[in-house]
Amino acid sequence: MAAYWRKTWPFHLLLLPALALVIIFQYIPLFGVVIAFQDYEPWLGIKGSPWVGFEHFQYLFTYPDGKQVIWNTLIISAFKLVINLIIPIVFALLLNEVSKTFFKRSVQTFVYLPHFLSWVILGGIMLDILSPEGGIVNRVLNAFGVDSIFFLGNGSWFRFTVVLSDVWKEFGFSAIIFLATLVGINPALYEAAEIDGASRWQQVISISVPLIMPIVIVVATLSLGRILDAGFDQILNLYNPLVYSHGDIIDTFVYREGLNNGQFSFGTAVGLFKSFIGFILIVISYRMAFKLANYRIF
Amino acid sequence: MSRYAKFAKVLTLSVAIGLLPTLAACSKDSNEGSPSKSTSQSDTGTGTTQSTDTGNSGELWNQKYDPPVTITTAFMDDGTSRGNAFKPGESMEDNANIRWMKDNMGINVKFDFIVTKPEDYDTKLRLLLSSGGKLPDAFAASNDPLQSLLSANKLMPLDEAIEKYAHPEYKKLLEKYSYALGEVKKDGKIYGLPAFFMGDEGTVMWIRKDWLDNLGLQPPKTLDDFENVLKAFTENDPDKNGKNDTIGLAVPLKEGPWTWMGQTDAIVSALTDQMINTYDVRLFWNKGADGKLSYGAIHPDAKLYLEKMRDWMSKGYLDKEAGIKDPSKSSELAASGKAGIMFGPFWMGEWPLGDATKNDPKADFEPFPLPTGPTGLVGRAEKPLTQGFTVFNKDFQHIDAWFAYFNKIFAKKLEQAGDPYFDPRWKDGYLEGYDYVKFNGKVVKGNYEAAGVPAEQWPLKDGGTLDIRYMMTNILGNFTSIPGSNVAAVKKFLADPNAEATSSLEFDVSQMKKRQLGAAGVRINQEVSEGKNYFTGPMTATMKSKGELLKKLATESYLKIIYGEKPIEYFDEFVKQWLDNGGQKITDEVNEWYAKNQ
Repeated sequence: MAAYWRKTWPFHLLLLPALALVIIFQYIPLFGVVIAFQDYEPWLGIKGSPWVGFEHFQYLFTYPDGKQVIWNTLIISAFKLVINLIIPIVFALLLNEVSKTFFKRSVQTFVYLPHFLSWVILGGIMLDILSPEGGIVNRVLNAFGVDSIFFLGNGSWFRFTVVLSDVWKEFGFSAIIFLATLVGINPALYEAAEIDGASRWQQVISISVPLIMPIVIVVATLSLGRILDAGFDQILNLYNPLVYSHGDIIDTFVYREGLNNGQFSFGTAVGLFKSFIGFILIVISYRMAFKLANYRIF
Repeated sequence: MSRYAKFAKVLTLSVAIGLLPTLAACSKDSNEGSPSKSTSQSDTGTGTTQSTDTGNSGELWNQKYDPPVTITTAFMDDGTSRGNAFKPGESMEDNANIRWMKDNMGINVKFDFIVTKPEDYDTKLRLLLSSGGKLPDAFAASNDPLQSLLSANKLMPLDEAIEKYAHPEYKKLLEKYSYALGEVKKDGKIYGLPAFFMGDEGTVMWIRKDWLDNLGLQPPKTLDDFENVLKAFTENDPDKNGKNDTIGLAVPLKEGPWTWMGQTDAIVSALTDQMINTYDVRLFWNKGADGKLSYGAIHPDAKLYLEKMRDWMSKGYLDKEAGIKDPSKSSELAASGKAGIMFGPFWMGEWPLGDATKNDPKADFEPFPLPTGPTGLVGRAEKPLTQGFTVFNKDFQHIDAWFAYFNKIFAKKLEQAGDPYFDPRWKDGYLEGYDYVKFNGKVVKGNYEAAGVPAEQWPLKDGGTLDIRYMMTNILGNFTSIPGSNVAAVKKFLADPNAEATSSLEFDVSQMKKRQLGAAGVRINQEVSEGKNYFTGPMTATMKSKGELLKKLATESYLKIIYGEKPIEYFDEFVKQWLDNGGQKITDEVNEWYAKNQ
């Protein structure tokens, strides 16, 4: 043991600053979550504010809109989670098969650009292109004899629009991680398969897919932890009273309720609730990944 | 697995783990601990506890403090959205007015903090509250932080100081608009000085005059005329381009019937004496015949409004996307020449409606008086009068010095002959070379190049004007306007657009664009009842806990009825839900407040 320390102490030393940062900026502020169990008032501070137990959590569930909001969050988020996983994988596999480097690079750059646009800007653009009167999307639909669709003003279409636009914005960026893995696969494997007479399709199914599976599991596991985040800035910029019943999610609700009204304790309570659910889901999916795919993330 | 694969795996894994911090629950900003230790504490500590009148000399307009006093304050300055407020090298903390105050009044101004965003300002105040730090002596506060400050007993009651030091005209103003001070009243005392709006943003009706002429129509006088014009604008191709691509009214309904632009308060007022808003549970509380307050959005008369809007929506007179648009987005429809009518304040003549002329040189939005309803009703909403308050640290020692400066500014705004508070040094403007220059014995404010002023005399190198309000505001918190004070000036310049401006107020009015001035005149000349909001108190307990729910319920229900998704009878169900979900309790709380503060 002593020999081990003698050999490795410089590495532990190198780790210290990072560890200190994490403790100072991530762990110590965690104690602030106690205000979720208080009626926090800024001038009374954490020490002086009265304790109210689980009142704020109760409030979220007994609030008349609470169930609707949680349900909306789960639906939108689940769709996003699944589609945001499948599309980038398929895209990465397809792009990996392209042999012309220039084309590959340009496509890759092109599709991940939207990731860098903010929803504030995209919200305005989408309002225009999805307009039922003269918006470009509806004009194309009209050309095919389809009636105009009020994408942002009709409840059921709203969820569809939110999921699709999110996928459009993010799939290029999410694909990077899978592309990186694909690039890292040993070319010898493909060469061997080719010699054995495997077709392109068989190579993909038997080599590429199994080898990116670990990363797929990592990404899926991590995103499960965010199942209660359905995309706050996106929905805040797109939703409106016409689609509250289908589009109001936990985060927008907390924003209106907690921040606009200065209800810090309630906002913290919901944040804590979300983290708690996320934590449970991560633990479960981690176990499942180990059991089913025999894969350990950490 | 080859080394590359391992490398790729590690790399991708680390990217994935990089996402982890987003999971971390809440990371508080723990920076910005204590505010800069202000100097005033030490100043007030040093012996000369000059309470009231000691240490200042001279007449009311010429008070100088010796030894000088220090007043600490705080400021929110966006810096980007405003025009030029300082000369190069000057700043909020070091500028001509700060030096002027020091030399001529013996007041040192110190800023405890200057931030660039309103949220940051509120956060700063909250941090000061929770850390128990020293608040600035005089500063602006509103809404939630203001209520926190009040509950924490950190503010100074002002009744005595107002009585003793305030400009007599200002006292009158406070009395006249005492109903707007509910937010800063506690136990019968006033804890904050209001910053009033000019009160000139009442709704007028903007119509494409060229469209009316194209169709041979007269400007609508009644609501029925108005409906006919809507119909004609929608169906009769008013822009004569051969396409059915126009509608009548550009209206944002995302934020309910009342908002800052494009609002439909005029239509509400033509149908009922109630005023309606759904987007804020504090607006509008109407006074009934029994002297009780009731929420406008649940009054049975609201059905009249909903029926009209629903009818117009189904006939295509209104923007089909009204429900998803906010005011600016909605105005694009009018500016792009697709809609012929929009309601809103006088300033719309420049932006956004001035843009219509850029798209189509013939486009001509003109302001008109509001239409009269079937029973002869006509009116608009009164925009809430205050835009925030100036409050004082309860340990502040020199409120007399603060008032000395405030009265000077106030007197300058009043510009009354023989006012003992009026500082003759400010006769032509505040600071020569800043907001005005003297040239050939004449005072020039703005358009320096056109007036022939040589370039070296221009306040700014590019010849532009300098917005002196930021400099002058420093310890005042909010720069108050005197409600309705520009009416005479508007009338004067309407009568003679080339009249000479003899006061700063008149100068401001003379700078208005022709259409804005015209619209201001239309508003002033149409004397109609303005729907007041009788509840001006702080948010009640139930408003805080249920307000958002009720706002959502009301806005959603209104839109569903207007869009025809629910029948008009749904209104009764909505009212029941509204009352059951806390609305009844809020109504009781509001009336309890009103009974106490009437």
